[in-house]
Amino acid sequence: MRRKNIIGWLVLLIVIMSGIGGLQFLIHSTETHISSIEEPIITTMRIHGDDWIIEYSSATTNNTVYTLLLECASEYNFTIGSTFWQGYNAVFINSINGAINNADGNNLWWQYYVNGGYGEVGCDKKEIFDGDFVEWKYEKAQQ
Amino acid sequence: MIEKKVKMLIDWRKLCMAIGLIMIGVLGRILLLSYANIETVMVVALLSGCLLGGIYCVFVPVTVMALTDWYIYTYHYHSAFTPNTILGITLFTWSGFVIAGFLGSSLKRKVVCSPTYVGIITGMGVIATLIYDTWTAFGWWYIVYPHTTDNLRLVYTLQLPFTLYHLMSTIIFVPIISIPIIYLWKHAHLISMNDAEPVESAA
Repeated sequence: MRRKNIIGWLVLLIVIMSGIGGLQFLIHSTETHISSIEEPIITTMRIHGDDWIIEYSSATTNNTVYTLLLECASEYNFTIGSTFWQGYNAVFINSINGAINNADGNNLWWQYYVNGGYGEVGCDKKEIFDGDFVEWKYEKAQQ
Repeated sequence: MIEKKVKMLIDWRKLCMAIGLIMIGVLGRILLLSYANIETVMVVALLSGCLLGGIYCVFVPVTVMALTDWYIYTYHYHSAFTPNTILGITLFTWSGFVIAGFLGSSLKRKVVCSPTYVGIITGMGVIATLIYDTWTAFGWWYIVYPHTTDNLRLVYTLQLPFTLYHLMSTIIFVPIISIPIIYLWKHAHLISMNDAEPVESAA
């Protein structure tokens, strides 16, 4: 009986350790620190506001959706509001050029697409490549 | 006479354990706020069910969530959501943990500090986590997204990595926290007025 208990506790310990290992792996695998590269890439970005559009083409070394957006804002002199959500280890865009997420409860949010595909990770985690087309849309939360 | 009736109605041992569980839940959620879905509310909800049962399945998780949500939405995410969105999200998250509490109460009989029992609670924790994430992701879709099946699929796809985090959290914290708490519950005589004064003599 005592031996069975010891084996049981050992199994539990293994379960806990594998949980810790799995968690470390998950955290490590979602960490990306790429924000700029040495060789420039050619990208195009289009930002659809509520009644305005900004188009931007660039040979850039900024290779995430977020850093490209910052570059565009700097180039055209408009503001970006963003929050780093520590819990999700990701940047969340609150506003672009004065258009604020869910302003007065309008349920319009800034969402991005790369080559037509919905951005499924934080914009600071989404790497872009030569020839990519990035779109920011101020729209209802949807694909 | 009134004092005796109060003694009969309030099980102080349970109340002390509930307060202890609430403290663990609140501290764990606040201290681990930097890590998405890594939390101690799930284990606290399960233990409130399997050790205390009854109204505590609701009281413990709801108190933990009320205290921590107040802190989180006031000091961290205050600008991210409207009051209506927050109200909707809390409705799903709080009820999700209450469901976990009721799942825990199904293990209330024969509480023992054994590896088998802790293993069963951990297994129940995994089930509760899957139900909780399914329920709250549905809530997120219902509150934020236009109600289409494509959006529902999208929400569940985006939820997947966070469910993995949540499962790891459950696998780690349920056994680590359950073992000392169950041991205390079974062996240490906490403040227990019912133990000191049996119900029969009080009546």
